[in-house]
Amino acid sequence: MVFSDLFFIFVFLAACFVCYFAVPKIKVKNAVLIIFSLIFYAWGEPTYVVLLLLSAFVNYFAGLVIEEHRNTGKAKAAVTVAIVFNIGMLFVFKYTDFFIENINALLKTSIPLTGVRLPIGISFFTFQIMSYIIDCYWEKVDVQINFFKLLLYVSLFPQLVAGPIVRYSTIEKEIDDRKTTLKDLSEGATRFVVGLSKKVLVANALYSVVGELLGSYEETNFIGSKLVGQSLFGTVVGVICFALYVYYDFSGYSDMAIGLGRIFGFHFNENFKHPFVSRNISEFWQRWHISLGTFFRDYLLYVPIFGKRRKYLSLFLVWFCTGFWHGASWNFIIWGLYFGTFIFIEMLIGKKRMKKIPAVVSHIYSLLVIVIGFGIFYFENLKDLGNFFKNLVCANGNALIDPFSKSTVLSSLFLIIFAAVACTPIVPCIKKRLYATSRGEAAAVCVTAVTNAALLVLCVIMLTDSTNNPFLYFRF
Amino acid sequence: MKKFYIINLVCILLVFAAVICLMSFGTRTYGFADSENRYIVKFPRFSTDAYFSGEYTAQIADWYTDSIPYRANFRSLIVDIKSLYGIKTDLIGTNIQDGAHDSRPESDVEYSFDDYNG
Repeated sequence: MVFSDLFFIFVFLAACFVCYFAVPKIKVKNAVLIIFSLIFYAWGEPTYVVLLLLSAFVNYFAGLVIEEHRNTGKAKAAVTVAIVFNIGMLFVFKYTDFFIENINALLKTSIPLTGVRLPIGISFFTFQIMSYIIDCYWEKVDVQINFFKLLLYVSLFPQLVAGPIVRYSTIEKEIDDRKTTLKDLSEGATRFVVGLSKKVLVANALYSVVGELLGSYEETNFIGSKLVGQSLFGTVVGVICFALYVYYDFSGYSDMAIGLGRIFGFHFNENFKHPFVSRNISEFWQRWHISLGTFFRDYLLYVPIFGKRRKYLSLFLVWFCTGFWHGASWNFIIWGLYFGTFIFIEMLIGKKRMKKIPAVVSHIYSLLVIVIGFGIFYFENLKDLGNFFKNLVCANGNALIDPFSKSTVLSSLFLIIFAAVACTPIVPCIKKRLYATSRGEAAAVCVTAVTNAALLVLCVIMLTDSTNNPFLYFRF
Repeated sequence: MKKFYIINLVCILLVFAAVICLMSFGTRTYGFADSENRYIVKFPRFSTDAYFSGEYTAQIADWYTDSIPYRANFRSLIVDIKSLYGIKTDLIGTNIQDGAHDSRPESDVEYSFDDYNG
């Protein structure tokens, strides 16, 4: 089940709201959420829901052992077993075939691929439960002795399949004590509608443009024929549209998750903070997929695997893992190391010198690096990736511009301009100015309410065409 | 601010309720969709194989959307909304303009009907 689906919104969510708000006691509310969350996951993964339950149980049990044998070897063994189990599960389902393919290519063997299917959301809920067990071991959070409360944390459907990766400490107290105020309902609903609009009205349309300009892996072997010979203009606009698509798709989903969490009384942290206005790549990764970046920073970067003198090795390890987390493919590893290299260079230059660079130059530098990075992210086939770079320097005999790309861009021109402008903090800036006066506040209130209703109507209309509803981060 | 929250929620809930009423009480669309050259998705038959493969539940969601009441009207509205995304162009093809060269393989190029009318 995906959030941007009529069945999810008007059947599942409606039923969930009725059941949740009909019961007064928090324990029963939690039970309602657990049941609906398991139904949500089992809807798309009727067999793999067992994995989710198993993961919760193993980590719950490990937590109890840690609490019982604190500061002993048994506690260390328990957290080790839990981490190995979590990473092992991720490895088996996500990376086995990748390693088999590479072994076959290197050693000229013919080991058959397992063909094992990736359970939806495994990258997210595995990291989430790992953060819990590590925080238990580090005594940052209390061990949860009630299995069902831990299951609620792991399985909570707003953030189960596509994040944000919520830390246990963020909602630890809210599991037992939360209220949904009128403000939570209103702001949560607004956030959900805005997220849905980002996904349905903007991201889905941008995806079509990307497919036209760069080709699509969903159309078998189509990408090669689109990309080779594509003009410089088509390639550049295509990759810009892809960067915008990923932002609107993923941040839209995060908005929906945060909005739904808010409706149920949970307050998740922000996952995106206008990343395209960053002045350098370090700042970009403090604004983009924040929950993943902070996970690696807190649990990998400062773990003294290499020692304090070899902090740059840790940095590249983190970026290798960041790339690899996104997908079992070499382009994702290259993507992670690509960003790691720029962050490394920025660290060598130093924060003070970076701040002295004129704003225009630093914004152009950031956008160039980010957009080219998303080109690496898009082309999973290394030959296609090579052609992408060749297109950027017209080394493929490609033209500067071609009529097809021009026509494609013109037919989505307003969308592209809107997407480029709206991803900046322009809306919060306008809101801030309006809310400064009472008249402005009243106007903002009316416009927001009417806009939310209109956006919801538009989303419903667009969702009736279910053939165009991809969701990128489901692959992870 | 309390008034705002109420106004906002009422606006959203009105749309929510309207859609639920439409989906619950409206006459579902069935049969052959001429414009898409396919049959509208039917409510699936249950089987354990279909359930455990995920096909059964996926098809329920597909049926819910595909057989929406006033389907043709919604499809027409989608076309109208998509037309607002940019500037309509008539020709997607091989106009050579100002030295621009279309280096795509011949088989990928689409010609408009007018090209054949000379």
